[in-house]
This record gives sequence, C-alpha cells and structure tokens, in this order.
Amino acid sequence: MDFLREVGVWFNDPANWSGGRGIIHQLYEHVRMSGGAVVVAMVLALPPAVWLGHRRRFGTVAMNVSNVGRAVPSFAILVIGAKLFGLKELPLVGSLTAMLALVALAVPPLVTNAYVAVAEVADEVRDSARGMGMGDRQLLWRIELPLAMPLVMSGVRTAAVQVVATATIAAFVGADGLGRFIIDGRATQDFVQLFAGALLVAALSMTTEGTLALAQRMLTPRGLRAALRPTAGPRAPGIPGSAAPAAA
Amino acid sequence: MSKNSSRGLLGAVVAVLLLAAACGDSGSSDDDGAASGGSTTETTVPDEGAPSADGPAFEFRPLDAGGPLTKAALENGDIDIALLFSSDGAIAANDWVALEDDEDLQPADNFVPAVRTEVNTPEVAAVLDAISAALTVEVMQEMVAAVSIDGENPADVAGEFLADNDLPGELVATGDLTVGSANFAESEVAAELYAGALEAAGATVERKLQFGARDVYIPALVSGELDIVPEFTGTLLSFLDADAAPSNDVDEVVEALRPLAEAQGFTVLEPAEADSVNTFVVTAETADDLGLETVSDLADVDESLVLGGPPECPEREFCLVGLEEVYGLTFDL
Repeated sequence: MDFLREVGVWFNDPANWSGGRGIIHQLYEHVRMSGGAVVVAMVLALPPAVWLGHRRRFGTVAMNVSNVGRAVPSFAILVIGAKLFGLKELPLVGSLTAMLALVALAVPPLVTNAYVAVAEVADEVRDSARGMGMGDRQLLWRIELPLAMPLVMSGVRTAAVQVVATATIAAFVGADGLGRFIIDGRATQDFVQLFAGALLVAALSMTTEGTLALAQRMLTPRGLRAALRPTAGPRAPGIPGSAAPAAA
Repeated sequence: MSKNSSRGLLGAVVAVLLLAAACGDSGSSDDDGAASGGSTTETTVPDEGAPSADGPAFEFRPLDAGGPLTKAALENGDIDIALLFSSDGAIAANDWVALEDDEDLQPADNFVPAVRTEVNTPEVAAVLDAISAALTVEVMQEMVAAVSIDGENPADVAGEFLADNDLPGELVATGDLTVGSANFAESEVAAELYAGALEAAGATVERKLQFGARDVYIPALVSGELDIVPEFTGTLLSFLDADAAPSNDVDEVVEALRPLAEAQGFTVLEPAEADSVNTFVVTAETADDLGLETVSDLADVDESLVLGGPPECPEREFCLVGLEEVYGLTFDL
C-alpha cells in the first residue's frame, strides 16, 4: 500500500509532468513514434495487401513474407539498428532504429487482415456487382473495400496496440518515449518511477485500443454495422458478404 | 460488458492526452528551464574552486553503461562525449581521447592481484608486483583492444607483452598455483599476465579463466579453489564492505581494502597504474577542435555538447552529478 501511495505521490508531482524528461514530453514522443510507425506500415502494407486480396492471389506468399517481421524479435532489430544507424533521427517520426523495429511489427497483422478481408468478400456479392455493370475499379472501391473495412481496421487496431506497447523498448537504444520511465527507473532502482511508467504505457495502449475501436465502428458501412452487432435481435437481412454467414 | 460507454470514455481520454501533448510540447522550452533549474538548485552547491561554465548547457542522452550503444553513438557523432571504462579497448582502437579526470571525481579502480594468503610467498608476490609495476593504462587498453576487438587470444596477447618487457626477468617462483579470472576481457588479460609470468618464473600454473562474476570467484578464492585472481581496487572494496565509499586515491582504497581481504584469507598486493574507471571520452577530432585534454576543459567549451552514458547517469556522482558539482558544467535535461 505504501508503494501505491508513493506512485500516487509521483503522479502528483508537477516536476514529473513538465520538462524534457516529463510525462507530457515522453507521452508526446511515444505517440509520435507509434503513430509514425503505424502510418508508415499502413502505407507499405495496405495497398499491396488489398490489391492481392482483390486479385485473390499470392495471399499466402504475402502473409508469410510479412510474418518475418513478427518472427524477428523487435529487440534484435533495435540492437542491430542501433549498431548501424546509431541515434539517427528522422523528421516527424523520431528514431530511425525504433521506426524499423515498430514497422516490422505492425506490417504482418495489417497484411493478413487486409488480404483476408478483401479476398473473402462473397462471390455472390462480386457477381452481383459485375452484373450491375461495375468495372474492376468500382468493384474494389465501392463493394470490396467497404465490406472489408471492419476487418482491415481490426488489423490496424492490432498493429497499433502492439506498436504502442512495444515502443517502450525503444528507450533501450536511447530514444525518448514512455519507456524512459521504465528503463531509467530500473537503472536507478527507482521502482516507483518504473511502475508509473508501466501504468502510463498500459493506459496509452488501452486508449489506443478504444479509440481505434471507435474509428473502426465509424468506418464500417451502416448496413454492415447492424449485421455485425453481436447483440440479440433480428439480424438485418440481405447482407451477404459480411463475416456472419447470411441466412438463406 | 459495457463496451460502448468505455470506448467513449477512452476516446475522450485520448483526446485530452493529445491536446495536452500538443500544448506541452510547444511550452516545453519554458518548462525545461524551470524544471531542471528547480531540481539542480536543491542538490547542487558548486564547490568554491569549481570553475563555472560560461558556455551553453550540455545535453544528456541515456544509452548504456560503456556498452556498444554508447560507443556506436560516439563513432557516429550522435554524441560528443561518452562515458566509458578507461580500460575499454575501443578507446585505443578508435584513437579516442580519454579526458583526464583532473578534479579526481572518479574513485580509484586499479588492477590489483588478489592472492590467497596461504600461497602468497615473497617470490610469488615479487613476480606479481613486477607485472603490476609494468601495467600502465595505455598498455592495458591496447591489450584489451587486441582481445575484445581483434579477437586475439588473451594468452597470446599476454605472452607477447611479457616477452617485450622482459618479464618476469630474473625472478624465480615455485609452487602449484591456480589462476582464475572474471568473465570479461580486462580480467582475462590480467589473469593471463599473472599466469604467464609465474610459469616463466618456474611455478606450475593451472588456469581457470572465465570463472564467473565476483560473487562466484571471490568465494572460490576464499575456499582455496582459486589462488590468484585479478581484481579492481574500488569495486572490490565496495564488494567486501557495502558501506565503504571508495575514494579517488588508490593508496587510500588499498589501505582500507587490505584488512578486509586478510579477514577473508586473501592478500591484496600492489595495485597497477592501469585502472578501469569511468572516463569521459571524446573523439580525436572533438579533442582537437575544442582543445580538450581534461574534463575541466569542457567548462570552456562555448557550444552545447551531448553526453552519452548509462540511464542512471543523471542521478550519479560519477557522472552528471559530479560533472555539475565538481566540474561546474550545466546540463539541460
């Protein structure tokens, strides 16, 4: 109990919030680094994954290649990156080394979800769209992508939460971010600071999860929302192609 | 599970946090001064004689304890000053300049042989003292670099040094001795020097190198499994007496060390000049450009330099605290 009280005292100390080592600064750095990594990973992963899903080809190859990012430990990437690039900073997103490790972590769930989401759009739906005279591009943009959106966004959510949690270890290679409280706390045997840092990372991860869940909901087409709602009640009719098998 | 309401709450929280982050960042330059000023005035009372830095405040980057990250950062120019161990082979290999600790901030951590008292005959002591007398900081750095960077065999490096310096010369020693070492290059090289010299003097030597950390090899020395291990004065003193605050004067440290060691059944011989202390290191270019030879010279530098060291540096006497209090530097954290 004394320990928790000390943690409370730590959070109440304004000196721990302001300045170049304060919570506000480290939170900003953490968000900047994580956000940058997720955006870069989305730019890299989503277009090819969606296109391959649309063509329904090479999915296994794409997923396996991107899964290398999951197989190589982030920490190993950090250590190698630190050796190669030192403390090199990129504009906007911060540490290059941290960026490499985090992008590698974010790409696999993005590729897997986006490919599956687009490739699994029901054949009947595609056929109907073509029957209505839609071209390839219209099929992708007006049918497949909206239907795929919930699953694509859930990949973004997974990637973002992993990145936010993992960005902590960037402090090992001298980068700022909430991990500083954990690394520095350990180095100075200041377990109050360490615990406070862990709490902050957990809070930020949950916030990320919640925010993106909200975004996922807002980006889901209205018709699908009803179909996906897990609560009881009559299922909206006639939404084939949604994740739930449509009642015949 | 009231998922929807919790989501809304979380969304609100992130909005507030992002807003705070944006404000905090724009205002951080003002906060900075106030925060670091507030924390330093409490703890820092500059010495009477401490030079006051006129130059801009330095920066600090938390990296690792004299490890690969700090060295890579110095190599790449990401930091200007690195806190390394004086015996680190990388210093010699890269032609880096170890700034002289002219205000004696760092405690003395010189190489010293620890010998089980039972086998510590005058002959053995004479051979080991001869080695210590020849071990300067520079030769130790070169030997450690040869092992840890060029991958040479510690025994070869030590043998070469003994041959070049005609050690142990005319000295003679007898007996069966077991030499151990800790699990890092500095200790291994020193152990090979002791072992090689004793063999050349006529003793029979068994090597148990890479024996482990201090918590392992000191008990082995006490129990008689090992007879001789290389040690470091200040660290050994702290190990034997956790309350001891080793000074920067090696003679004082050894004086405090000897009765503690004797009580455990081993003897601390004469320390070498070579040591393994925390040292502020700059590249040769930085040293030339800014005219740096000593740590005191840093106070005259009129540009903001970046120091890289272990994360605990800002709280530690041997690092940032000492630089501010003893050397009168200022850091903007």
